[in-house]
Amino acid sequence: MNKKIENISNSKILLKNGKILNILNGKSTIKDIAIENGKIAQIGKIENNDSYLTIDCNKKIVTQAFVDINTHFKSPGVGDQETLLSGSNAALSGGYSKVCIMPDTNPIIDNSELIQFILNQSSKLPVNIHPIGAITKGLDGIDIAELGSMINCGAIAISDAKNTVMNSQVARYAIEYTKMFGVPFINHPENINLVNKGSMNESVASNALGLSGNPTIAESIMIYRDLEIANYVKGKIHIPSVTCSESIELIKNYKDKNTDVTCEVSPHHLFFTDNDLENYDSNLKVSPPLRSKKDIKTLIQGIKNGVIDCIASNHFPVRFDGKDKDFYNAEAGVIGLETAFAAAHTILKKNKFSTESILKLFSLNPSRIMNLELCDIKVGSVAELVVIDPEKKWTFTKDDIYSKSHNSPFLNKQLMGKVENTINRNFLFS
Amino acid sequence: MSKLSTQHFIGLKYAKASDIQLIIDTALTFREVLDRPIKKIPSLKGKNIVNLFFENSTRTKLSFELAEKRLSADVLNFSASSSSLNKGESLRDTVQNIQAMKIDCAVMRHPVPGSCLKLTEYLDCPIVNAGDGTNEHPTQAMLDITSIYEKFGKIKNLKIAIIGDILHSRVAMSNILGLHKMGAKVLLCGPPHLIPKYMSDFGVKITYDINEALDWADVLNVLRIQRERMGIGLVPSIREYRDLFGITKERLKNLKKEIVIMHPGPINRGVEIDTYVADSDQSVILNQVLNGVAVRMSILYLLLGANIDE
Repeated sequence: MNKKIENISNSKILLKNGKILNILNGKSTIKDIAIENGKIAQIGKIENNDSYLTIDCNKKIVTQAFVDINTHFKSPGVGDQETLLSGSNAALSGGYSKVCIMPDTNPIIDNSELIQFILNQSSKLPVNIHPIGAITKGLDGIDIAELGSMINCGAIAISDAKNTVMNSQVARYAIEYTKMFGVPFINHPENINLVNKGSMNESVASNALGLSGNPTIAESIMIYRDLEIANYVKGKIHIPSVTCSESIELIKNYKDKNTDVTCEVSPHHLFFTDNDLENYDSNLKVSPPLRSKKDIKTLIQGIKNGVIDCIASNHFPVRFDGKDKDFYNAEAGVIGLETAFAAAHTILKKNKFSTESILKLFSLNPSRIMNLELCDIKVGSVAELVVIDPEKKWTFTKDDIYSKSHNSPFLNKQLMGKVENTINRNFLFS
Repeated sequence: MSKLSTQHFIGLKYAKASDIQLIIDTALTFREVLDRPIKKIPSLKGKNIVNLFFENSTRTKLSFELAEKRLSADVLNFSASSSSLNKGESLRDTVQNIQAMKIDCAVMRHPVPGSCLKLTEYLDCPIVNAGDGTNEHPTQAMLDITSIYEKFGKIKNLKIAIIGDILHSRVAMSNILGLHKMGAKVLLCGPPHLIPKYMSDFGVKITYDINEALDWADVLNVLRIQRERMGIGLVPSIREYRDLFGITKERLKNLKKEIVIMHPGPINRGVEIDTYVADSDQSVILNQVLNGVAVRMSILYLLLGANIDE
């Protein structure tokens, strides 16, 4: 069965017999939902008739669509890795209605004009795109960009994407300055001196493969610095793609001190370990790198006890020839919007998480981090809904990819739990 | 005629003990060929072997070329300066031309770990790893192991100490893997920051005390300390390195036993090894070079020649 994405502004949708789970209050009921003109028109027992495009939601969950807070569309840019449209399609197919995109574009999103441009483009696309403004001009790590103008134009957070702000004084200024706007400072957690050109986790596995190691201290030391600054200036930070036990312990300590910090984990860091690199599969080259089994255990524990706030896709499209290289020279990054929910659900279900608690990691929690309003499920609300089949076992294939790039490590992997449909205003994935 | 268990020879991590023994035995028979007045046999006549060198190498390249010529193969040499790699030319693009020329075997030296395994995706013919970065240099390890075998008549239970910069070495890992598979014990000795973390998980002993290593070992494999590493915080000075880890005449004289000295070359006389030691009767360094040709003949013959005999 081939899925598709279509504009439904001229049709009425009926979600029949779904278990409606309102993540805002945790209540669930089995009812029908009618959607007209991008809004919820009716909830209850609704008779099926020819005027509706009916979607059978029996034994499925209907809930708020997801929010991704760490996406790279590399658009504006050359356009051969991703475009705003292809990225949006990928997001909608993964259950998302909102994505926050990183500023590592060409030109770089470091001014209010580009923020405005993205928001204008977004109004015509299947998902709402929220741009994250660069911390420093040209991501150079030195000159602070016009953070205020960008935020006032709609930048949802500030980050230098995969470039770490190494200069601690610059980091302090940025964290301190953005306090007055309430948006999070997001800094890639890798100290580049300690990364020391390492291309995978420093471990027994890196020795066995002869690859230079990127140690966990590169991550934890960077996180420690940012936590200390945030604590000192009482600023707000969000830590992207946390991967190792040391980081979790640090973040827990600072959360206990009431530091305004949140963090996320990426599905691939829960799914794969450094031992999976034995054949130098460049689709498993990511930054920060894949860690050990023990780290995955701590990450899962961290999600359980709330140290980790949410799951973000870390969607990073790379062209075929960017990956078709020896491991060291291959580009880092994986696409993840299409698989994020299913991959995380597969792992977390095995660790006895309820589907509801997993859904929170994808909608409620990320929306709070980014100060985004999550639509309610009631008559008159904007329809941003996702239909999930939590029991469905399926194999992810190339046909399930909507991104322009195919660099997914989940290809041909068995997953459990599937996004069956997503509705965002006038767009439907079905 | 016996065969290797693998189609390629890209790492000792993929080799069985029986493969290693077969390579040693075949190499030792080729040693006899190398003592003949006409040092050439027709085993690989009509076979085309390409030597792909993406990184500078003198002795490995010469050794392979000589081995190929002694077996009567036709040799094609390809050298890419490391700058052309930096221009972003992909391995696939480079080797696709060579694939089209219908060659029978490729020997590759490449600066990046795992590149030989990647090459097996692009070429159909047997591939021999002539060193892929800090991953493996299996023919060097085989010539080291063959030299030890030649000296002792066995490998099992021998104690081999590898001395020096393990972190940047292309030789160390293949040696550890090969020696372990043959039942030898391995010790690593060098400055702590030049021995990768987590090495003890490979079942090797580790010491930072050169005298302890000398007391323990039957064989020393002394690695070159690269001069370019000096002065960037890794090795403070030649004098200090020699004081702490140099294999000096005095250190050997204090031992109550005779120890076999190996070195993969090129030697830094007076740094990691003294001239007296390198040229002494205990040293098998030049024998290693000769065995290098024999071992490479052996591997090429076992990969390519076994079919001809049938």
